[in-house]
Amino acid sequence: MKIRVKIFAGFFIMAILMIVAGAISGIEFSRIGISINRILGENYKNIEASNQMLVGLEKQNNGILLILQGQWNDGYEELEDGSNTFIKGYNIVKNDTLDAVGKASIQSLETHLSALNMMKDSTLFNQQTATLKWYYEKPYRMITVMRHEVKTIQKINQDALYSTSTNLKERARRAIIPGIVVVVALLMFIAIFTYLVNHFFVNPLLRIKDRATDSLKYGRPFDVNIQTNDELKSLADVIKKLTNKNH
Amino acid sequence: MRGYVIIRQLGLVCLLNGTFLFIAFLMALGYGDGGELALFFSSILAIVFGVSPYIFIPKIDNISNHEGLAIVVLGWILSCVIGIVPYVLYGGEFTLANAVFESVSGFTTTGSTILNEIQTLPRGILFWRSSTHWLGGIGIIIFVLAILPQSGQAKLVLYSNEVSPLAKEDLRYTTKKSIRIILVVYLVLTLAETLLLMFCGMGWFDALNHSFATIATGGFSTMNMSVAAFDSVSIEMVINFFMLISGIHFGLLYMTALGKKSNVYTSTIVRYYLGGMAIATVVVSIKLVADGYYPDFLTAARYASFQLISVGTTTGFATCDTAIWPPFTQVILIFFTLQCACAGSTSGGIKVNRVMILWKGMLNQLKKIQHPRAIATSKIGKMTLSEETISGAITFIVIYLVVIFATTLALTAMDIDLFTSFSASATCMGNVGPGFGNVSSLGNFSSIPDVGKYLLSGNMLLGRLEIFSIFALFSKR
Repeated sequence: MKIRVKIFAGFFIMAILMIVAGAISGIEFSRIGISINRILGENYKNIEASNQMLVGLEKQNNGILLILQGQWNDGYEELEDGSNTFIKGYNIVKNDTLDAVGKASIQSLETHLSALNMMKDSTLFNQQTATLKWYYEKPYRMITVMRHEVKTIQKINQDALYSTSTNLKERARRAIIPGIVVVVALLMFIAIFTYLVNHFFVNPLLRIKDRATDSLKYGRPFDVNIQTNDELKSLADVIKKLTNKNH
Repeated sequence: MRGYVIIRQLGLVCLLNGTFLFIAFLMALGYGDGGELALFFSSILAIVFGVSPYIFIPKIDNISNHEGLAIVVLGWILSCVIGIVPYVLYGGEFTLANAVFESVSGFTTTGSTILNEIQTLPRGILFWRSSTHWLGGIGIIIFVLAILPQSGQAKLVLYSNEVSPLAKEDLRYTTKKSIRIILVVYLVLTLAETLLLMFCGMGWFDALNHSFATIATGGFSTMNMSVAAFDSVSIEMVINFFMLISGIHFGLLYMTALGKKSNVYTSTIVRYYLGGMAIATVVVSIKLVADGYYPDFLTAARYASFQLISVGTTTGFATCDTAIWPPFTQVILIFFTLQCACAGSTSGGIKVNRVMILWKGMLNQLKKIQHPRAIATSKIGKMTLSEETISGAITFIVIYLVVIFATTLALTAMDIDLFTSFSASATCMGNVGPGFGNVSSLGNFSSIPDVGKYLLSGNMLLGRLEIFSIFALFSKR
């Protein structure tokens, strides 16, 4: 193999190591990006929506209590506002929740929501039926169950947020490690490469120079043993022929 | 010592490891359950390092004995270093100390693990883990010599340094033939066990991994509960059988298969090895039944035989937790942890051969005390033991026990209890796998501090290289 090829191969190997490490780090960093998107796009959005749903439920509860007090207009207004706030949050959570427990909670919410809406629209929800006893038995229980389901969804998202964040730490570590491994590997390779270049290129050149000098100065025979079958051996052979010719 | 000679041969070690890493990568790619990047990067790294010496260093025909020794010792260390890379890149439970421990444990066929959740690992990583056993079991250099072309002289020097001197006694063939015999026996046993395990209902992936670990007398399982997870008598019987024969000299197995005179039936060492196992199984089973651990003798024998063979051959698989067994049975298991199986097999430890030499030497010494003028010689089978052989074996055993004592001392200094410290030291030094206390057969080494893990990794290497190789390499000539 020619010296040029050998030297090129050495640097090519270094380049391969760096490219592979860079590619792996790149892939890991892009995965970090995906994880961050997931945190912001799904979990955080759902946690906010759950909070919105809780506020909505609270408003609906207040609305019913106002109606019970006889403040019909304020009560209906609060109830309507609460219902709209809840629906807004519910629509976000409904589309993003894929977890089985979360889906069960969504299902439960849907059932209770339609029951609450029916109650609100029904003629039963009037001055005669709207007593404190009725409140504790019907709307209060419904709202309590719904609040529990919303908190379940919120917890699922909080847990997912925590685990994804923890995963981010691990991913960041993974993205750095190929770089560290390559730096160590490169240092080792450079040490070996330098040793080999020194042993197979520099030392033979120095030996050729010394023998050629000896041959010229003192007329000693030019005799150098070159282990590699490359340009250095050809050079030694040519010098040998030349010195033999001169002598 | 010529550095470039060592670098060229170590390149072969890198190539071999790189090839297996690439196979593991393909497996990870096929299953798609993770670990692909870690394995791909590791294989590229190993292959690149393996190829590079060939670009610069011309073919070398002669290797000196000291160079051979350096190649063997550094080859093992290099393999362990390569083994660390995919673990560290994968992450999870693999911190640096854990990766070092797992890699060294794999290549030295110890089988001790730091993993709590083995079943969650991707299959590619699990395959690499088992491959380290398989490569280490036969001896990395033997593998290199068998697969890649080498000159006769180089083969002889490397073979002499890799194979235990005791093992050479029963394998009096040319180097080339000896290597071929070892490889053929290794491959046939692995294939036979894989097929039998599949026949017993194990999936091909588990069967292959457990075969790698059995024939190499390693002990890495693909299950958190080791072989206990399968709860199958037939699977246990197959593994038991292959563990037992993997503890016998491969040359003797080969000669038995060919119907030669010198075989496992005529070998005094094999008779002692098998006899010892049988007696211990009966004694331990009786004790377990008597103490009410198992309802009947057959059930007790099922678990006792598996644990004794597993420990006695340095495999380390488990079907039950021996940490809860009575102390009497634990002492017997500790004896087998120290003694281990026959030279010329894939097992580690002091080895039956040395225990027999020690015993014969002691009897000889007693005879000399009784009859000072008598010329007494010791024999194992037809082989007469020279003074040099006896003193060599005694020296080995003494150094072996000193290392165990020193490691125990160091581990107790880290506030690890005495039983755990001693059994961890003994089990790592003997490349056995499970110990007692916190590192029992169904436990793991995750609770050991990082410094302890590095120390035990050193023990494993020292035990695998049979102490003298490392001392000889670093001693002044």
